[in-house]
Amino acid sequence: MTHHPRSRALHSPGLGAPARMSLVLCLLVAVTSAHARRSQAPGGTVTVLLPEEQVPAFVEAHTHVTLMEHGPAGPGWSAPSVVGAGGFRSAAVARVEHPQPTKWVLHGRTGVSGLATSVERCFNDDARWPRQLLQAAGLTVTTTGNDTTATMVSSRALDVMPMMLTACPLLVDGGAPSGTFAAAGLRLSKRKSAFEPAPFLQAIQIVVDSANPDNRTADARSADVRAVHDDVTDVRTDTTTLLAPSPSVWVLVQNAAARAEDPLGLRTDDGLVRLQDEWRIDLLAAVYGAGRAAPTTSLLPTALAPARAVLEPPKSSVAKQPLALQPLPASAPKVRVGVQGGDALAAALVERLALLLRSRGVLLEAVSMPGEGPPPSIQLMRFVPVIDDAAISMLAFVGAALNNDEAILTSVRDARLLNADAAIRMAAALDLERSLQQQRALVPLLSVDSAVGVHPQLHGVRVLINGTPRLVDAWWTEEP
Amino acid sequence: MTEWFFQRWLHMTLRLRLVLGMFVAVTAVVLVLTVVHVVEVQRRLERDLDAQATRLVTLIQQDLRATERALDAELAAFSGPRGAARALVNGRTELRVRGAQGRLVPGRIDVLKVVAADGTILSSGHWPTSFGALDPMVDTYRNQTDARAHLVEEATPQGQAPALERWVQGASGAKPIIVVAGRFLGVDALASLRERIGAHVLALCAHSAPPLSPSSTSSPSSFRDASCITDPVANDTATLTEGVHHRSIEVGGGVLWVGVDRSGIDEVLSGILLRAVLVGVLALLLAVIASVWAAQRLVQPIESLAAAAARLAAGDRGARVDTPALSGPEVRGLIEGFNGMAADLDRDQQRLLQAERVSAWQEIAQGLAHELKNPLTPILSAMEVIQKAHRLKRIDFDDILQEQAGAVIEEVMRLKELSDAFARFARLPEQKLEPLRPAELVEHALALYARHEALHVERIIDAELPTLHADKTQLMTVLSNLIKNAVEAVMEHHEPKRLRVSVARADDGVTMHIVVEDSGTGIAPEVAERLFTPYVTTKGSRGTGLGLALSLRIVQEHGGTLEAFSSAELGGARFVVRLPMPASAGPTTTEA
Repeated sequence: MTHHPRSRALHSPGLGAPARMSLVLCLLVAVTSAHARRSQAPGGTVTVLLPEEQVPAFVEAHTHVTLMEHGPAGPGWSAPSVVGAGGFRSAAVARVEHPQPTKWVLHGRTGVSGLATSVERCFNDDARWPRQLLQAAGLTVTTTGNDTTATMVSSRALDVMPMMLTACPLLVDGGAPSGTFAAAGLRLSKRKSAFEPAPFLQAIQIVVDSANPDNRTADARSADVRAVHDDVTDVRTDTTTLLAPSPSVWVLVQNAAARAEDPLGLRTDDGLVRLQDEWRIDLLAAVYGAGRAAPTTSLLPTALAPARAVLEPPKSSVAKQPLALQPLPASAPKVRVGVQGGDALAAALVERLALLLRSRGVLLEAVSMPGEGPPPSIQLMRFVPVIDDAAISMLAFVGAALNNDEAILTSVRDARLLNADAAIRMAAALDLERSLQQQRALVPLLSVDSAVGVHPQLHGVRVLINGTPRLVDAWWTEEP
Repeated sequence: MTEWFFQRWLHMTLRLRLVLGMFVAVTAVVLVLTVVHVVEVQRRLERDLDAQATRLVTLIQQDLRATERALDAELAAFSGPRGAARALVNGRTELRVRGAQGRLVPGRIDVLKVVAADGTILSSGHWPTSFGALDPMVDTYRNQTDARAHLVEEATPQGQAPALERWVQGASGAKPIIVVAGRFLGVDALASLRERIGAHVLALCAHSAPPLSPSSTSSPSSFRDASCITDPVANDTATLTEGVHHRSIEVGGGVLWVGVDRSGIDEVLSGILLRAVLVGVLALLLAVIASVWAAQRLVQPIESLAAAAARLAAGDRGARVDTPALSGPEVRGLIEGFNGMAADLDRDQQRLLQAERVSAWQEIAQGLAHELKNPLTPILSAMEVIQKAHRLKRIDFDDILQEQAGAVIEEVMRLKELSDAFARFARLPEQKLEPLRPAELVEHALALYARHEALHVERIIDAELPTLHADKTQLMTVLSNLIKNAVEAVMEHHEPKRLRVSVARADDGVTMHIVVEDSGTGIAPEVAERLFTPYVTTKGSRGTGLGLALSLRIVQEHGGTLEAFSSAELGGARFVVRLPMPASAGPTTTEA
């Protein structure tokens, strides 16, 4: 039997009878309020147009509850707070204990199962950012426990454990859905026996975006929710545009080998200035950014970092030279460049980079990321914040992009990045940003807002920090 | 090598020579036929390939002309007074960057760019987006204004690729511009040609990097250095350089190299060679079998003839050869001739033997008559003396009778002796073979017949000679005859009186010889030829004339020979008896 989370507060230990009564009344009022909003127009199906790489995250966001949620409560139903973890809410975890700097204990809510397994899988999955963060920080976490309790012991103090749990889905019965929808292919259907209240929507139909926008089908063109970046030509005048809490930043990543060989000549300020001049990021952002991109010289977007003094723009004493498109045979030196994502902006960046490398006598071999084989020495990647925390997001990004670069990993193993104090973490993150840019390990190119176009009669859509739309609390209203 | 082979050839049997000769002949025939066939087929295939390449070149030239027309049409529409080129130059940034991209039509218009007079690319639609870059071909675009399309190497993600380009010079407002359109000659072009001409077109190569050299018409040294679009079916340099029939097509600004796959020819030739090898092996096998059979038929009668001839030479007068059933007339004639010759030889031999026998007996009879006549004369004289004394009533008749009777008796005894000797000669007793030591036999004979004090006897006797199996009495007769003759010859002669007897193993290892030589007067030439003839003697009335004849017969009966020579060292006669040694005492070998 599945218990609704709202009834679990009645059994919280340590509360007196008056307090319990007050809590019950508060919960009843909150739930009634939420259901009242959802009941405005229950049912209906939403069609969502997504880039292919965003589909897995979208499906998981609707089929699984996360062990932790961070940030302010949304407009709809919100999970209850977690005892022992201020600022965090969870439908799965009732209480968190932190008896030692290196030890955390989670206690699941009634009816929750698979808690320890969920944590362990999350921390050992190379594709998830907690794992990448641990690798970058040089930490290991050992998880023990059972269905309702999980104990995590880290090799060093890990004050940000609750943040990491925001990336971990609750896996019950070996991976069965724990969220409000169940997936059957690209169709998500409403579930009743979830850890959250049942959604208003009956179903969500996913439409995968074509690599070429010109080849979009009629379904794609008429999608209710559109999470693609280049839908300039398909704009409906009445579309509501929602933005992700933070933009993503396109970054040129150079590992140790690339920095040593320096095929782009970035070691000097002259080289960096020349690259920025020749790349014409401004032009590419204007043409391919769909109005949501802008050149940037900082890795951390405004949403994550406070107002600060950024690096002084490098100066060059070398006169500008016209870009030479010199012919190169197939036997010319070649650099493998990994590219994350396949939208028009990414293609334009790579194409222009190929031109720049060609002018330097080097051919470019583009490799889709993530791919097989050794990681390319140069990558064009999107820095997408994983959480509204600069230090954690940067650590996760470094773990994903430069996990074999010992020099960089050494510099990021700064204990302040994992400190419990947000201000200390932020200071360390800003230092790290400056260091990575000065080493030319990361060269920020442009920032892009993740925008989601939403049908004007669809309400309650949220956009997560990684740009994924979440429709758990969405509902249709009748056309005015 | 030649000498070695010649020596080998000389020592080969006829059968092996025949087999080898037929083997070589068949091999040579197969080899010549194969070479002739392969050369002929290769020549024919090369002609076909050349015709195919010519057709391919024609098709490509037609393609090029069609491409030129299509590019011209596109350029006319794009760069005319109301064309989009002006908009690209003067329009919004987005148009400059992406406008040309939208004008591309894959397979028709692959290259499209607007270039300023200074070479700066104002807008480009093909990869890579190169606005702001200097176009390396600008000099060509500016200076080459002929009516032909030009081959230009354009950048591709993989490097460079040949593209056929056309361009027009115009102006956007006051700014001179050049609008360029082109089509890649890529893998699709190869596939299209491959389908149409039914052969693999392996590579389309622009031979030189920009600026293209019109004079570069020589064969490409390596496609690796050239900018080539290669067919994926043979995308490696070795195949391109070795397995391709090359033709060049003059294109404005360069040369287009076309390769037609010649692997088909190689496959056909390989197939022919394989079949030739198989047929050759089969032919050689059959040749060996046939030559062995033919050699057998041809050589076998010859070998039979050789064996029969050997038997005939060894004394087998009945040696004959059977005529093989399937033999030809030549072989049959040869065998019949041999058999006839052998039969004639047999008859002649019989006749000769008969004649020799008669002759021998005539000689014997003559000698015997002579010997018989000698005693008869004294007997007759004695009888006439006795008769005359009786008629005269001689008082000494008794004495005369006694005297003459004695003479008669003496002569009669001599006749008896002659009769006994003849009987011995004519009919030797049966041999009684027994083991004899030659040294002892010689010593015994010397002890009996060489006891004169004045005689100097030398013995050279090999004491290790094996025992003989012979009749002791007969062999003693031979030795005593020879020693006695030698002693008598020496004793009648002046000094020195030397007799030498030597017994030793002969050089052939299978016989031994006994040599008796002396320092006597030797053998007179007139006697030498008839020395072993019965009743020929040099001792007058003291000899019977049968000693040496009897000795010769005894030696021959023992399988040996008896020969007479002059002794060069002692000056007298030298008699050599050769006797075969027992088989077990055959030649000894000395091991190193």
